[in-house]
Amino acid sequence: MDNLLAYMPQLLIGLGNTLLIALIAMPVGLCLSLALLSSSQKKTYYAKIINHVAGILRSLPELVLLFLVYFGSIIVLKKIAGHYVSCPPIIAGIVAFSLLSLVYALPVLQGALLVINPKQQLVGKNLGLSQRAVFFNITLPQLWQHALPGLRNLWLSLLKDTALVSLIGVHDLMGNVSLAANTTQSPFTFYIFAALVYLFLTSISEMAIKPMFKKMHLGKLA
Amino acid sequence: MIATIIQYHQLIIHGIVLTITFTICSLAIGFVLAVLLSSLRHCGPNWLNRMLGAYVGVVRGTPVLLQIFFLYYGPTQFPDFMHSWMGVVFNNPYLCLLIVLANNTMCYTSVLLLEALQSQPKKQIDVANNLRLSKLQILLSIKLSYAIRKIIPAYQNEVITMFKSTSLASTIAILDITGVAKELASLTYEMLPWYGMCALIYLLIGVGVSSIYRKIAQRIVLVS
Repeated sequence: MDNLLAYMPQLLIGLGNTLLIALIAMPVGLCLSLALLSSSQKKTYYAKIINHVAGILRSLPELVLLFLVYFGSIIVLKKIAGHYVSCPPIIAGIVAFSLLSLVYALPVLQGALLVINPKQQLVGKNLGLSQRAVFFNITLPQLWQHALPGLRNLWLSLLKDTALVSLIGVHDLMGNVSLAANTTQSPFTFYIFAALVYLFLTSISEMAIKPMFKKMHLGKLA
Repeated sequence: MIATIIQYHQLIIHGIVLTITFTICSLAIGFVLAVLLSSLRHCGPNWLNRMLGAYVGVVRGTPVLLQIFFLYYGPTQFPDFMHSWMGVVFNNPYLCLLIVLANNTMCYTSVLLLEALQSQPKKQIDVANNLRLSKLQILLSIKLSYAIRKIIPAYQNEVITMFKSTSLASTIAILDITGVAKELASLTYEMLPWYGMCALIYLLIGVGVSSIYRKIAQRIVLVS
């Protein structure tokens, strides 16, 4: 227990890093998938490319995707800059997890889009609203309502998957806990602490999202 | 790179076989345990339901990586335990990974099954009650056959997720596909080709598993 208290500042910094990665990756991925949403629903070849690439990225394990992004970024930066550029691994983690959020949020949003009546877009057009106004004022509120259960699962799964960045050397919660466990030869204590912290994070997320369910009249799905 | 593949082809094939073995074993064990767990939660007393629900919540709320490290490295804090007869299980990385993966799939599948058990139309259970079947008979013949067939579409996601979770075996030095890719990358000092090859293998096997599952599922899925 003394070890735990001694390492507490370091572990809290790790917790901060974990939340940083998750809180940047989720909104970025969500916004990008909203941007790609309307173009992925049409019948062009561009839409087919988006959907197939998203399917391919979805079928990769998160760990493999993370390694690909991390080592790929080193190679890409080396080609751009000419010499070896050291990129902090947390940036690679954020990029990989926003890519992951994008690719997992896309089918959720596509499913929610199918529930919305397409005649509403015609009504908006007849009222003289631009495409953008129709999307933001008519489609998006309903999309948010129908996609909420899937997005909540996505957020919870993202929160837990950020533990993987510890394997590329990021000092997140899992990384600092592993370091502390190896240094003090007491892995049981530290991993129990990490489990409690992750449970705390998921509980807080669920408690924060439940009122949103009530407000959107999705009572049963909560 | 082709020369290295030919030189180490046995290692790569061994990794693929190990991954598929882990997937099948953990899915089989996890599914049987999930049926048991969800039956206990559905038919048992209320306190049992809440206790098992808390356990399921803990397993679903923690990362799989954390569970693997906890089970494999955690008990080393107690050397007496590790040297006893029970320590044999926790010293073996294969058994630890199998326990964690089976545990995980048991918890996720039991949630699906519980939801399916609770959503069965009451008329079917009333008919069974009127036929004076015993509670066990109702459970096995009517409730479970309905629930298992109902979750088949959702279970496909679970199968694919389990297949992807086996890649975490590489973190405790098991030579599955990702572990072999790591090993070959550190041998040849070239990271991207090997992780790309590993991604391609996961993609191909995943597509294969999905199409096989869909063909089998079409025959037994519940059409309501």
